[in-house]
Amino acid sequence: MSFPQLVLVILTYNLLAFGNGSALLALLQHRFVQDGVMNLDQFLYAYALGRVTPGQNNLYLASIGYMIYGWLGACAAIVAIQVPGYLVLPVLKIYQQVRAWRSVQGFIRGLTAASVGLMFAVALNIGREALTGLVPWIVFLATLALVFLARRGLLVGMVGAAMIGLALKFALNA
Amino acid sequence: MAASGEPRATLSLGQIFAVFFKAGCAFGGGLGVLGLLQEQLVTLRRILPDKELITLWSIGRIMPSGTMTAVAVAVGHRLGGFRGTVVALVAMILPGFICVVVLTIAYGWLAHGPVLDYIDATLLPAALGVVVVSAVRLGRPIFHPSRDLVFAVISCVLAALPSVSPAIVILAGGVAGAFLLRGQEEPDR
Repeated sequence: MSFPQLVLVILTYNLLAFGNGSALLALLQHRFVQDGVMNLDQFLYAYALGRVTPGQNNLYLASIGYMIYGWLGACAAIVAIQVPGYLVLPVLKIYQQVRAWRSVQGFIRGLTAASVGLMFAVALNIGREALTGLVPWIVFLATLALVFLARRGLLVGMVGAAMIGLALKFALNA
Repeated sequence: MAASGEPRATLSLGQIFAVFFKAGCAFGGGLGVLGLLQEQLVTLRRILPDKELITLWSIGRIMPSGTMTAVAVAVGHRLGGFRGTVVALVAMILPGFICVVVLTIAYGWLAHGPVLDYIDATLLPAALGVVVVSAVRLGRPIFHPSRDLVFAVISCVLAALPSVSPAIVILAGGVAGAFLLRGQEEPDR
């Protein structure tokens, strides 16, 4: 796969998937693994990195880019997934013009309410994968306790709870 | 998205970088980042109302790009113009990008070892906590009997089905809202 092809594939597949991570994953797996650009192990490792590293999940594309073209590939992959984000600016410009319309206000309210529902659906999906034993449950509850009861910031809550989990995991494995 | 004539909050490029870099350090994917962004911009600095952030996130969900990419562009533009968008994106991506590339370089050592299992058992549930906090905080205005809450519950059920695209669920919520929520009294935010 040539360098321009790599950029074009990531750019177009990202647009086609319309922000749907699973759809993007399926498209990329088909293009990169079945066409022999990388093996399945490499692809799954790259995808796993997206889950265990900070930031957006789609940053795993930097890993795929790196495996194919080194630093240049990693940077190009990241640029390719960020550029379509600029489409939001003209959309917001139009929104400014029509935001006073009652149907637009209703549309945005429906959009917002659906988004809140989606957040809980995402939490349920992550929960199904993440809460698979005692230690993950303790880490999850410790995060909530640190943020809601001890009133710590989110980063402190998250890192603190993860440290508790790490200590427990080591203690249980020792 | 401040109304025209309303004073618009701005931040220096350094401040924008700091806010988005911190947000980019969150685990839990886009919602984790959103939670940190909400904490920084809404709770601590008070330069963006809750309603505006969740509206931007909702619009970001129906854009053909990563949701948080669209949010970073929108918020960066609001706070610092075009240069603000670039700084916001770079800052938000940087922590994850560096981690991903460093861990990719270490592929040979890590791919078949226990390190990723440890991360799965510790950071992933902590990230889930961040996602739940983020959802509770941003959803608070609609947690009372209302049509908005009904919309949220239906969307949650639909989005939990593996075969339904989240973008379609949100878009459907918007279209239904245009008919069923227009002219309704809006919940206090």
